[in-house]
Amino acid sequence: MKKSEFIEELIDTLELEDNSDENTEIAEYLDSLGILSLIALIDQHFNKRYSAEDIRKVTSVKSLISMIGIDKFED
Amino acid sequence: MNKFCSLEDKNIVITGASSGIGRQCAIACSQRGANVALVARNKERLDETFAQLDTGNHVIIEQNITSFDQLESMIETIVEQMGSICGFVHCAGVELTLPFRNMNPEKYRELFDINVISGFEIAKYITKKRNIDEVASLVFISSVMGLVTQPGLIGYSTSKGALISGVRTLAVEVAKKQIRANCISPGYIDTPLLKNIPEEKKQELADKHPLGLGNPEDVANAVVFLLSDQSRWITGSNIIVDGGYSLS
Repeated sequence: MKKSEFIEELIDTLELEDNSDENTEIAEYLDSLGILSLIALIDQHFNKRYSAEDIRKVTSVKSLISMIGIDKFED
Repeated sequence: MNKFCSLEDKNIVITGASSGIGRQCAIACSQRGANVALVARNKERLDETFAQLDTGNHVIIEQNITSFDQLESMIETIVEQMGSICGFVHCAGVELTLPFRNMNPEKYRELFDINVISGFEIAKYITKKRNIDEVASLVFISSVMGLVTQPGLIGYSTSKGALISGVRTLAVEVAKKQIRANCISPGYIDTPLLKNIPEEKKQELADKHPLGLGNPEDVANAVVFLLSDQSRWITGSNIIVDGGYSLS
């Protein structure tokens, strides 16, 4: 999956602002349902299952991508 | 126009709009000033509903709502044509009377696909930020058979009961976006479907309703109320509109 595609899905899943990018802070969107949505999104695309604890450490889109691993993206 | 329960300029999506309760909901919404997106499979009968609407920016959407992969684009099309959505009424549904021993997974699935899953899937796309208005209301037509039952209704009753319990979860999830979600559980309604049953059987059914059989208008009035701003503090509820059927 391309990074840009992932960010698009992230915007949709967490209902971020449309112009969100790697620098967007997402901590405020990670309430309990937001965390569950994000765990499901990553599981679906990367076959990786993170815990709520892991997701709570995420601050921005960039930090999320680096947690998943930049090498997992096509671009 | 009477402002109580006004739906003026609200864009409302209605499934099952080609007949019965769905058709009457569409008519009632248009009479209260709403613009209505009529969704169903049968274009000809949708046209008949359309012809009975008061003036407005109404659209006809010919769609099988169990084609789940087409629902997101269906909602996008509606938003493109009408603007953001303020209300959704899930009237589409199928009834099946079959003894428990004759049921099979496929029959359960068919009931759940139409009665439950299609409604919640459409609600999922409608409630996306880009599609929904600032304040909105979702109404799901369940049935009094989701609360009480009769022999032969295991599939139908469980699907309608699932709607009632699912709507409670939906209500708490969407509340922070100022979206409400409620159910209406009608009793037996005097529709063309009932005209096919023998008169004595129909009378027997009517006798079980202290106020007699209902009309589509009785349900549509409750739908209009739940869509309107007058019900702004009601969410996760199930309004029983059954002429007293479930009391005994």
